[in-house]
Amino acid sequence: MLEIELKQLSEVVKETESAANSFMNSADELRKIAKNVDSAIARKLEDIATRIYEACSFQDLTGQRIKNIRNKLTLVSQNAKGNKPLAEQEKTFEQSLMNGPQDSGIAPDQNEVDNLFNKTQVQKN
Amino acid sequence: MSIKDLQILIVDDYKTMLRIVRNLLGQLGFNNVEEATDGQMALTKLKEKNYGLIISDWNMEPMSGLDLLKAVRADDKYKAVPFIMVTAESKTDNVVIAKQAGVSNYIVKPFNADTLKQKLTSVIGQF
Repeated sequence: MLEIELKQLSEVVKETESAANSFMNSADELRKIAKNVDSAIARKLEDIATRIYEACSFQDLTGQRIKNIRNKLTLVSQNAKGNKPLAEQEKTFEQSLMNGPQDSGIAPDQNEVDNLFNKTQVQKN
Repeated sequence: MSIKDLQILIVDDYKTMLRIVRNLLGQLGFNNVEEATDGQMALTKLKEKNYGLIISDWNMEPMSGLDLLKAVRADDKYKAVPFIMVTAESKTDNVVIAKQAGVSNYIVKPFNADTLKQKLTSVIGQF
């Protein structure tokens, strides 16, 4: 049960990886062109190439969300086969810290993380 | 030797992200970059070469970035190596626990080139 759906999700991850690599290859082309144009245009092309690279992190972030969905669907599938009630897998403390990206409405930005990081005291053993 | 000759180890289970970080480091002038796709591979590489900086994801299996950080900080040979976590894990617990474990700085994904430069500067100095 759900094998086809799980496979579809794997295909999504492969396709997004392929797309991200295509975008980054295009960014590399822009950088090559930048070497042969005047400096003002070169800077703009370099900047565009950098923005493309930055944006390609979508593949990692969507992949993490899809992984979470896959894990949940696998659990549903296993539970369905065994006719057991749906139950969360028991996680170790370390596993409980790995949740992937938070929702866009609640995820902190870098400034908020920096504030928290800077005010966190390190306990000396 | 210039600071830009620094040997950097980047660790992420997503090859796309390794390519992104390598590229952004290259734009900043850092071209001595090696890659690992999980914590255990990173530890193996650390035994083989001296790195001046580790940039690692958190969410990896079987060895997470947090476990890698703890292993690095527990070993006298590498415990002083600067370690930047670059991760989508952004909850308070994550940031606090990473800092307590000895992370040098913390970048949340998605990030931009300016943030990477800023955090590198804070960890290794001006370049």
